[in-house]
Amino acid sequence: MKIHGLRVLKSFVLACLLGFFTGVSTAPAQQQQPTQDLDIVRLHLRGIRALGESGSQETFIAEGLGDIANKLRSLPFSRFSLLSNDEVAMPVHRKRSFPVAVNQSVTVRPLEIVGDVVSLWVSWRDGRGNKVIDTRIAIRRGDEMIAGTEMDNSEEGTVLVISAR
Amino acid sequence: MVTPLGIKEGKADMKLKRCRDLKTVLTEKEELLLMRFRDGEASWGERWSARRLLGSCSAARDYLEQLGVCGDFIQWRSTRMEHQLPASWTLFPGIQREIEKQELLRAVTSPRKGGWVLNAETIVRVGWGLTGALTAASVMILVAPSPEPESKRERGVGSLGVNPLVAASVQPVRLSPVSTLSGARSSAGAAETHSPLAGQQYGITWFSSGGKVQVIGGSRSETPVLWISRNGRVSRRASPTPDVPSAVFANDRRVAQSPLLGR
Repeated sequence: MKIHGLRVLKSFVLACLLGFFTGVSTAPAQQQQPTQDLDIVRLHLRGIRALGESGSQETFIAEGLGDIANKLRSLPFSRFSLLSNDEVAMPVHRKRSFPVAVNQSVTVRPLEIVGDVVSLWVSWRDGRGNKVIDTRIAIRRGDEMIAGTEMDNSEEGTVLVISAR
Repeated sequence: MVTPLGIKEGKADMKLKRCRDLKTVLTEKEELLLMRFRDGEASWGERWSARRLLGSCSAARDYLEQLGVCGDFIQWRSTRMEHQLPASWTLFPGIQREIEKQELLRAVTSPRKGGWVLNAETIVRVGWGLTGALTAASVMILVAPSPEPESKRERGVGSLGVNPLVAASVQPVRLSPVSTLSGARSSAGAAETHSPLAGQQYGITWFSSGGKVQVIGGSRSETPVLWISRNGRVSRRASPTPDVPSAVFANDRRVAQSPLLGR
């Protein structure tokens, strides 16, 4: 019985290996992808805290946010301060999480680079693990993706800025 | 008849039975260990284990004792048989006759050459072979990615039907204003997008969110701001720039059913 079991196991393993190598060897060669998988994209992630009613007072934008000041002014808040600021070089397909605000994190994975356009998978979750956004977005190098959400009390919000270099 | 150990034959049979009964006390592994120990076939480690077992377990000692009795009894029986048989007597002619008889019987009753007998062993083997082949195929599918057809890659396989990267390489990814979006005005004053290409305007292949998504701004030279309202309403606050168009995407639950963004 033991010998029979061993024979069966041996034939099973051989079948697996044979099928695997046959499949691998008969698979057509991969065509040259236009993407540059080995490329590295430099990402700049900023977490911004937004406060105050817009319109009621003058808009205050913290230092370091001048490049996106115009866009921040379109948001319904009057005060913007920097909570987190990370600048990293990430290879394509590598995933990494960054803090956005207290108990909030964003996971970013560069998916493709075509020319100067970078495709990113962005998953932002709040402190309770709820999904704020989960998206695949393409941005041009030098541009930024800006997304924001209001907190539970609606009196303050968090803004995420991801720019590709 | 008295055995070499001084046990009568009937008592020896009883001892043999008790010896078999003792197997319920020890595990099979322990019994095999004790057998090897008694037969002198145990390795150094097994001898150590057997001694330890014997030192700690009375059942093991009993078993070994019974093994000794059984062994002696079997030896005594075989010795007695040898003594009973005549010296010139040999079993071979009888065995040969039996072999010839069996071969003849097999030749008559066996199936024709080339015939295939479906027995349980064959079924098991075929079953395992099929399982192995299926497993191998699954592994192959998982590990060896299939190449994407060129035409499909160009068209894009994203949920929006267009690969934003390829599209972006042809057209600038800088987002056009939401005036390209079509749809009816909602109660919040924002245009609800119904075009599945709305997301593509912003370079978004797919999108899901825990709240309602409002697109604020986004001129030809600027990317828009995505504002996620998770309080079940489209931004309680009014946009400070009324002339900036905005569009509501959808909340997460509606995305699953609506053609919007293809999700």
